[in-house]
Amino acid sequence: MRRPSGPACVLLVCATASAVTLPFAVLAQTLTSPFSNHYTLSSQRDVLDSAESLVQTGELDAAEVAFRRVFESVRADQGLFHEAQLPVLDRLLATNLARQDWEKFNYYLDYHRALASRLHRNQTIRYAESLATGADWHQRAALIMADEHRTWHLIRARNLIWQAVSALEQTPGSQARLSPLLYQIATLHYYLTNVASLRGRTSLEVRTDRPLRLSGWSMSGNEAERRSYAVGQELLERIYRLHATGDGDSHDLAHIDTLLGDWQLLFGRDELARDYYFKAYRALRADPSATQLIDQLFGTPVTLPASYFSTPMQNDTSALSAMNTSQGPVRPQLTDDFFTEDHRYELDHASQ
Amino acid sequence: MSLTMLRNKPAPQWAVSLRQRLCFCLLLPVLAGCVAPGEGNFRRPPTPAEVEQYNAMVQPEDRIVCRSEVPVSSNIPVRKCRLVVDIDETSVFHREQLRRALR
Repeated sequence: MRRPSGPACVLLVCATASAVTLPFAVLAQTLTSPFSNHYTLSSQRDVLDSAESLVQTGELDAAEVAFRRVFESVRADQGLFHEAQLPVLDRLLATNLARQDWEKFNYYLDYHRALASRLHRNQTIRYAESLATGADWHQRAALIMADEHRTWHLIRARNLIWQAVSALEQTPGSQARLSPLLYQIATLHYYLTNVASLRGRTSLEVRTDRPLRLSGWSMSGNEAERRSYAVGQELLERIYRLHATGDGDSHDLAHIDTLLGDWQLLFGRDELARDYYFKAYRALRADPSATQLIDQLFGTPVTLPASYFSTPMQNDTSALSAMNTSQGPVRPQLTDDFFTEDHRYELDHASQ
Repeated sequence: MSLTMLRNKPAPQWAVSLRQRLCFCLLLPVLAGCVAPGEGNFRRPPTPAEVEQYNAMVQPEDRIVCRSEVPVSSNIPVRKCRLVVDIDETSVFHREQLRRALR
């Protein structure tokens, strides 16, 4: 076989080198050149891929620039009110959350809400889902932030979920989607009472939607706690009624009784908690098919607030579960012996 | 003697009837208070969750706060709902009045 000549070798090497470096060169040009046309679909994909790889390597500032270019490109290419913005917007939110650039994060979150409202206003379920997504972002931010900023994010999340609930209430047949949202509101009340600052809470709740504290009358700590307990109790009872009037599955009702028991435990009402647990436990023990559920609910200690079950809209309290600390209350492991007189005070010890 | 006789003497029919009527008249407002009024003439204040849902749907200037207040000359708390703007204005007014009185 004949060996390639010198010039042919050079050509071969050049071709190989260009094949390897071309995507990077294109990418670099797309990212840096002010004259490049990044409004084309292929270019959007390139930039998006590069942004994702920048996130992987931890270069968040560069990734944010790249995502912003894709965002602008999608807007220019497909229209200011096109749905294609939403996935890019999610990436922008994630990047700014990781960078802890709260100004941009809040800006894109406002944009997300306005866009979702414009796009899905007439499609109730999608609208409710996008509101719940916005609430989830606020909850993620609340995990990172402290003091009044955490309070503000939790309150914003709660308001968005209420808006989703209000939208779903207007739509027949979407009652099943209400329960997880109502539970999420209750859980947010617990976090607002226990891990968020009380300072400026009244102002953030009723005086302004911005993260500002305006002076004026404010609710006392005790009053705020009592109200949070009342709201959560009301919502959990409503969830119970929703399930009771629906198919009325005894397993579901026992599960909700357990959540009601958890709620009492979270607010220090141990005797009431015991009653709810007993009701749930007795109902499940009477059903031979509920062994697995008994084990799931009472087999091991559960850190509270527990996550909701069977969520049609999977926007659970998972984002906030990281706020649960080892110091928090725990649903104790329950057995038949637990409800006898000898173990009367065991719940108190377990919850401490 | 006559006093003992009077005490042992059964009350006349008209007196028993009058006493029953008097008792009935006194109990009537109490019984009326126990009867749940119809929807037409009774509006219950919103629950805490309803207030919160309403507040989430409106602009800050339209938001309300519901609290249990003990009115002057009574010990029975009453649940009252007010606009936050009104609460703030009342608070400022009272502070101003107090300041003027202390001057």
